[in-house]
Amino acid sequence: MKFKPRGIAAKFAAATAITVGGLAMFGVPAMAGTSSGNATILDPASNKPLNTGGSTTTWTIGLPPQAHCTKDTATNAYHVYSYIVPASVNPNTLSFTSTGPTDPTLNPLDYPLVDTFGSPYIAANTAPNTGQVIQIPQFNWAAFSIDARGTTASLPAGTYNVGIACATGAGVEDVFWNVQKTFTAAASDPAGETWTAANPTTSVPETPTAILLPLSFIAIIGVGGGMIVLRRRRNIEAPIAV
Amino acid sequence: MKKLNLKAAGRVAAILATSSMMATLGNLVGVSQTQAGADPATASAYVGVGSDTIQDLFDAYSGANPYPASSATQYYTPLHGSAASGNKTISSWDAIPAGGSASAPGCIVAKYGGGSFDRPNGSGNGIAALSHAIDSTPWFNPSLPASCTGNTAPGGNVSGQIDFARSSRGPKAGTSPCTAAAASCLSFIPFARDAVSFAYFDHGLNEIATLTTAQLQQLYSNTTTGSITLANGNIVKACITQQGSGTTGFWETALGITDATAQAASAASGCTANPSLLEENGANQFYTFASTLPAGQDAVVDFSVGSWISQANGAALDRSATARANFVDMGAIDALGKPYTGTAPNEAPNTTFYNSTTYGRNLQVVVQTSRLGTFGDAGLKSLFLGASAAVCSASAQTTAAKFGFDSTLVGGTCGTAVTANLYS
Repeated sequence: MKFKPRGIAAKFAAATAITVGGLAMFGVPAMAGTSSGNATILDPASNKPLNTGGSTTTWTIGLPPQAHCTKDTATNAYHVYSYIVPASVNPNTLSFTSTGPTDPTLNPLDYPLVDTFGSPYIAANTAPNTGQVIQIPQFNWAAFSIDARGTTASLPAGTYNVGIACATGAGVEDVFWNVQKTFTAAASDPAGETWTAANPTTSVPETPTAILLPLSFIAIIGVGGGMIVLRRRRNIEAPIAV
Repeated sequence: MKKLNLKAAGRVAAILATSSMMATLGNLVGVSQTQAGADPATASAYVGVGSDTIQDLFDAYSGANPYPASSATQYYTPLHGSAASGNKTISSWDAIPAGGSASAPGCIVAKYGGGSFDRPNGSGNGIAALSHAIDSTPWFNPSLPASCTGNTAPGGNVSGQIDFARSSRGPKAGTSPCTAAAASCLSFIPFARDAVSFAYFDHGLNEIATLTTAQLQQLYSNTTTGSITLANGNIVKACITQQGSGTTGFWETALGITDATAQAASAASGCTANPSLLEENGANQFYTFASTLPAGQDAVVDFSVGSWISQANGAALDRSATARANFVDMGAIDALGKPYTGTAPNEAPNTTFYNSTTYGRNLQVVVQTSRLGTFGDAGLKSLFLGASAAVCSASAQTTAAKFGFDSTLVGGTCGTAVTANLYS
């Protein structure tokens, strides 16, 4: 039993090495951003994964617990950005400016996400020292449409990478959290399209808590009960003082 | 003892178990997952820096008390955008904090989690700092001694920390309109009108209550003595306010004199160092110099009329009370008349003076042009862009009028953006 964790750690290390080696073999640029895990499209009302919606559906992005940039804003000028780019654009190739994301091919469909009040989520500050990503707003797709109708930006049907990224003061990508969304034409929607999210099946922020709390409850009851039983036994066995 | 310990342990276990159950229950019903809906307004407010002239007005627009705590304390309705754009508000950092000075304005952390940097002092500083915030290059105030982290070259991190600059001047001549990519453009948006004249001290004789443009040009062009001699033999000395101030730049442009010349004249008169660190719109500091002059020697300094009125009426932080009590007043230029009418606390703009194409000026908000575009920032647009913007509303214009600025004269152009390059 004692050696099991070491075995798991060794397997994890080996898997990491293989992954890193594989990325190097496929020629990922040295300056490329690094995935720091999956992003999850969430329903802000319940904080549960949200897998489908329309252009006016409100959603937000969940990141793994304590998701953070490598460095913070206050001391090191790192900032938090949002992005939606076509699936053909690898999110690890992005860089960021005061207007949002861009990639080496200058794909015209690279955009920042836009919050429910119509403001792009760009160059947000991290928490001091920890670099933690904080205050991710609520979003919708009202600023976009399938055919750039009205004053909206063009977002043709297809699959896109959507996520949150950190970048240095010079806009060089640091780490990112990605999830894919697929947009499908839908005449009934005001923007002419609806979406589905390829949310990860695990790593939703609240899942560990939902599991840990009942387990801790059982553990505490067990310990408390054990102590009470122990005390009763000792009371029975203790000699009567005179 | 053992008996007691066991009881205590049992109680702790019971409390923890109960807490765990409640937390689990909360988790199940989603109580602990609900996001707060009323974070502090400052968390989403747009941050502005820059002009001294309109710092008090923007204090009012941000809902802060623009006057030191006293019986005269008054709060104004904060400027806020439309409901559809989130009712966004503003946070405005003064050019000079109460108790501070142009030579030591200190440093600020403009947004939560941001870095510390030099407090931008004046329109020029504000526009420069905004430009650095847009192109993500460090910024510091080169006129100041090191006082903040990042104060010396290359400077502090301002990227993303500033959303707008307050400016008492428009784009520099020759820099408008911007023809480069929108990301590297600024937009100047007028919202009210001011005028600039000279404040003077003549020992209460009123012999320089009116000067001509020609006299002022001669005065600020004299880099040898920084003075002119009146017909009665009295001498008038030139004072210029700090370099980078929108008021300073506007005054120099109105007189057709370069900054270098005006700074040299002011230094030659003994009024300031070169470059000047004389705080604009603070007549007390001007009086500190003027009061040392013997009889027969007078002095003048450039001054925002709106700021003068707002201080005299008690709407803004009063940095001129001592000077006013010792005969410092605003002077008339040519046939425009005295730039304000009435007496404190009911002084009002002289519309003829404010209408002058030479001495009247529009006050501006400066923002990144791309944030005003179709795919821009709805909150920022709702606050500043177009005739229906919050800053052009009747309420906001009434507040501007209380601070000595004329809102009606700019009516036709309120909210209409003019583009210029970064750093213009």
